[in-house]
Amino acid sequence: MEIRLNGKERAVANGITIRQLLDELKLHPLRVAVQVNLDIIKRDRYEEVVLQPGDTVEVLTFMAGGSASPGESRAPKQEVFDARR
Amino acid sequence: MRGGETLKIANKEFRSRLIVGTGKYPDYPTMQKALEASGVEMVTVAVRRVNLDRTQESLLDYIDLKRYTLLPNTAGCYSADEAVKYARLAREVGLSNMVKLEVIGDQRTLFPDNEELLKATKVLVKDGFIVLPYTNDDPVFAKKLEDAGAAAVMPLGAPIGSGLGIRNPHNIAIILESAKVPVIVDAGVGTASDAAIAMELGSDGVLMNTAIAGAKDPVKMAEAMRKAVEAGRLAYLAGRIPKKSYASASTTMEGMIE
Repeated sequence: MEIRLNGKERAVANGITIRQLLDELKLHPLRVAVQVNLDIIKRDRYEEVVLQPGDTVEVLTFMAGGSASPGESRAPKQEVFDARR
Repeated sequence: MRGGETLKIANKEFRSRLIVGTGKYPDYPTMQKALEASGVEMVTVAVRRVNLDRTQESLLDYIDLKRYTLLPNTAGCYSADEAVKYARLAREVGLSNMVKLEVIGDQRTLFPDNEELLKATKVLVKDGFIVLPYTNDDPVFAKKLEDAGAAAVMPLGAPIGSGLGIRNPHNIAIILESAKVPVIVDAGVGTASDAAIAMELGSDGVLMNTAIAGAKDPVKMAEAMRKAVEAGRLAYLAGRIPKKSYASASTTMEGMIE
């Protein structure tokens, strides 16, 4: 069956659980968060939640970041302007 | 006087008053060395999609979780609902209920959206989170966040990544006067003296990312920031002399030859 995983279509076995999906992706369950169709799935339910065809699944983890978007702001490229003008 | 040997946030205690972000480093090994040189015990991280094709290394391979406390942020969120969602996702990844709450209101300045920030703070506090909101240098609003249950307030010194320093030290001082929770200056620091100024004002801590990560030598700058935060804190505790317009000699005239 097809699911949408992190924004891309992906074929997975029918009746696959979240735990099985993470195993297939070689992801450690202690290092991710999983959201299915906008619901956050608690870690202790990974073995029991069975994915359905067409489910939208997001698997997230910690990435480098300080403030705002890890990229740049969409500010115009300019140096300091004179605020007193 | 905002005394204390350590930085206490809710039930957690930190010896270092510096918190640094993990973004924008040239590479992870440099980040790792900079973290070490900065002496920090807490680092901020973002929550994003797992890279499924494994072409990139994982940040967590470079952060010793026994040594550093992760402070997940809601970076890139533009509404209370979105920020609450990301905070909850972060809690799932990290099994920690501490969050640096950011709700951005404008892409150009990355200034916070206060209305949404307050809303998200209330929801997350009720949900059991230790909430550290990133806010303007506005004493009235900082108080509102505190009243809403924020565990600390994080006023900006200047826009994120701008390196403009502490633009309104008087506002930070007013926030410090009335806040009963830790005040951590977040954003705006460009160089070591900015961090020292924030600490000399009596801030409980300083959070920065770009100033270190974007420096020509991030590891050296990390060390500079560690020393600046320590120096600023010491100067605050020591109590500076009042400013005067005229000189006052530090050597007596007595004993000079005629």
